[in-house]
Amino acid sequence: MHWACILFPHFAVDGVQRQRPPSARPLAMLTGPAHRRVVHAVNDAAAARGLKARLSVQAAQALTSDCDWVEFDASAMERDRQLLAAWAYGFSSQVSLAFDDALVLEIGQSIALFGPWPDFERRLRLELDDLGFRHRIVAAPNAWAARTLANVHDGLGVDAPQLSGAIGRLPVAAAGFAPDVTEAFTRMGLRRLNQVMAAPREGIARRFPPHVLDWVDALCGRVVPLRMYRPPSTFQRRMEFDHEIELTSGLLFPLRRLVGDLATFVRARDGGVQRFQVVFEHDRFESTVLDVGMLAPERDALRLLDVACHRLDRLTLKAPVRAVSIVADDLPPFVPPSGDLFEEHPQGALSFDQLRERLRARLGDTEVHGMATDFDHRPERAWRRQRERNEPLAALADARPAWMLEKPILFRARHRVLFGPERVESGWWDGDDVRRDYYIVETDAGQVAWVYAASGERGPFMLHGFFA
Amino acid sequence: MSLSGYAELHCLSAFSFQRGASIAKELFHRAAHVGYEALAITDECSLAGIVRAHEAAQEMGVRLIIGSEFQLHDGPKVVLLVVDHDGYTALCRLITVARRAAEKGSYRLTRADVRDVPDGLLALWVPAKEPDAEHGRWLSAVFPQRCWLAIELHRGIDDEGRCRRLRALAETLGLRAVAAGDVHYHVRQRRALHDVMTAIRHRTTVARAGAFRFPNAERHLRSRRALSAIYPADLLDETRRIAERCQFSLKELRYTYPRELVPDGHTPTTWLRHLTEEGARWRWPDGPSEKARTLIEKELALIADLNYESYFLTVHDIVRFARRQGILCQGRGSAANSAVCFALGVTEIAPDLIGMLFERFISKERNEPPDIDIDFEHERREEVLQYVFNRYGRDRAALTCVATSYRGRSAVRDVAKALGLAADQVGALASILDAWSVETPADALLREAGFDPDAPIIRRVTAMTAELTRLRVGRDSCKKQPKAN
Repeated sequence: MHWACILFPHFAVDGVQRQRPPSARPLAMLTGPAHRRVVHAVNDAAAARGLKARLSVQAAQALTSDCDWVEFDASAMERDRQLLAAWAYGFSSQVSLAFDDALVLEIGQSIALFGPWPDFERRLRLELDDLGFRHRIVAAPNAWAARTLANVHDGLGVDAPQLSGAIGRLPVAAAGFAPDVTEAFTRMGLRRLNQVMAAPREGIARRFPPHVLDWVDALCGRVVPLRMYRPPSTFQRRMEFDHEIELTSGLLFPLRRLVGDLATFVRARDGGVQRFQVVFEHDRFESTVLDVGMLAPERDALRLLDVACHRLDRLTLKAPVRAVSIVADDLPPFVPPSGDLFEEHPQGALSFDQLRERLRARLGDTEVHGMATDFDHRPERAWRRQRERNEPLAALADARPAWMLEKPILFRARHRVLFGPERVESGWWDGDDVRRDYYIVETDAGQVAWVYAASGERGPFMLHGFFA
Repeated sequence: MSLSGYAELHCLSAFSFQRGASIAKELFHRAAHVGYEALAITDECSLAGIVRAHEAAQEMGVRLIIGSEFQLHDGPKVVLLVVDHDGYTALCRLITVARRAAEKGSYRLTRADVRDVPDGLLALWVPAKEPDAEHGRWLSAVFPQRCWLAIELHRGIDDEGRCRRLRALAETLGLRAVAAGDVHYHVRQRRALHDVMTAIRHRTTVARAGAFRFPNAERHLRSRRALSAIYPADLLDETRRIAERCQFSLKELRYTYPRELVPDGHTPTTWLRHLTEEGARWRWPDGPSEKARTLIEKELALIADLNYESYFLTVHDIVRFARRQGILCQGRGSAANSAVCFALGVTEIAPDLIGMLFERFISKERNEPPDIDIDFEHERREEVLQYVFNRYGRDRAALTCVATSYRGRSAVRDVAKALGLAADQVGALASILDAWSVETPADALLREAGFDPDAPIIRRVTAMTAELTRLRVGRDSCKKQPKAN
């Protein structure tokens, strides 16, 4: 077993339904020119009412009026395919979209990373459920065999010795060839795949388009090249609504799905996202753009959503929204936080990263900033503000107050000296030489302050900060 | 209130290359000025600076204590101070062991090397920021009754607390505590130069050397008033008690010459006469002239008077080896004035023919041993070195080192780099020095090269370069010059 095929039997419908809140309402997708509209796909509820593919829209409407009619959107499907490929790329560096309604990925090498195939398969299924795509999964020695077997099996894993048996038994109709190809084989008297595989290769080459020969060759175990998926470097995804959404609360669900897709995408690239835009489209107004930036790359869907939602809370939309899209061009590498093995978060407590982003969302981007330390003995130069946190903070060698004044001010409060003096004489090389004696003092009000006087003097004192 | 007396027991001179930022003369001048009773020069694993320190101490009337600072490879940082001759010998031995155990320019001293130290060597334990009590225990076991815990306070965030904790630790370990300064330069104003040296040593710029720079300029020879404000009086008094014990002076040192050069039945005097007479017959087959004979007798008498026979015998031994091996060699300098040297084959010019003054070579008035320079054939010099090592043993033969100092060009390069100038600017400044060849490049040359002589950064570069070159010591470099001791 070196390849897995994930077949999406309800790809189009799942692609639409996953963008909507869960509902038991029938849904049918329509396609075709205006004068010959037909049903392209239906959900379970619609199927239960007798709707099915290729039914004319009139016939379908005759069966039920209580149904959501959705225009089939080929480009949306393609985006979903790209999303799934990006997701699969997180598990394997060889992913192909060469087959319709399915993706294949190399698993031989990934098993070392993700554990034995049953565990690996379970994980794939769990994540696909989260993504909202129903699926069938089959593993086989090559991609074509996996794809072929997925037509009739789910959860099957076939090794090389059993392969020809498993494939050979399949009826030609189940192989997944185009209908005319299937029909041609049938006319030739070939009903099962073992007959097709035993047929003279030249004959197939002469009668059928090249991809049919490729397919048969691959089933016979010959090596056939497969076009591989390459992940794009930016993320863009749009969701259009049937009706206008007026309340921001109504945007929560689509936003959750889009952000989830973004997280899936960046995770698959083993990267993160630090900045993205949410674009709200209106009918008669220019789009509203919400910039979401974080201090550090992030890829956790919940955290990304948390940040986006807090920004959304503060946003006033000028008009109802017809579509939402997320654009992320800046996809930096992700540096995982170093988690403590024995970390205990009280239930419901925010992680620091969440708190930070929430504060930024509430207070404004400029009010919350990262910090960088420089090894300079002058306290005002020992740290600086930094918009984005890129590197871990080096510990300060000395006791320094957590809160420092931008500019020291005269300190007049009554106090007693706790520690000091700590003498700082530094900075001659940049023309800003300081010579100060620092004292840690306690004011009568109980505050612990950091004050200094000129080197060797006992006053006047300048206040430079407070200890927490 | 009268101020406590004080002796500084931990002080580096510029011979601790790129660490000490003052020369001995400056240090002793300052020590005299602030009324120290004694000053220990404790360069890191080196005694290279003590001759100049000795001279400066004599000049300024402040007693010199000889010592050295070591960071043990597997143990504490320690300052060893010399009490007497035995202690001095032991310290020399430790430095030799440590230097021989490492690459040139570094050293490696381990606990195993520090054994059987004589009573004449005292130890000051310099605990790290977080003291390791085990270090103190080990050191006090190796230096029983003569190990102290050095408390070095430099206006840190909580000097009082540190002092209290270290005193408690000393008490626990049964050690006495003493104040020390970890001095790196003589006055506060040297801070900038020290920062520059620190940056150069760590191959970075001053601005980036934060982690290595000292936070302030307290590591200078502080006034006794300043010290009294920092240290309890008993810690200061203890410095004097230690200083009192360290009475060793370089003046006590005497040459001891190899004994094996004199055959049984002879004294150095009789053997030198024997060799000289033998040589005289070879040099003057018809007998020496009367003038030459007079010279020989006069010289031998003076040599005997000053006990220099063994020195001449040693030189003769090496020259004789070279001649036997057919290695070209020739003595030069004032030795050419000596009839004995001519007879021994050390020099090639008959002194009775040129009539120079022997007193330029040796005299009773000049109280220092003679110095005979001999040039050996370059390609075969190594043979002579090996002969010396083999004949006298590796532990009795050594190469002398010379301490090279910063000259203008290398100084301006290092300073400009340390102050963050770009590589091409560093090169340009160095070439200006070439053109001008004095310590401070002329403004016109600077302008020509595109620098603004009034720019603060250029002023800093020139000022620091001038200060650095004034130190005139630095990197150890070996000059192959065998000295048998």
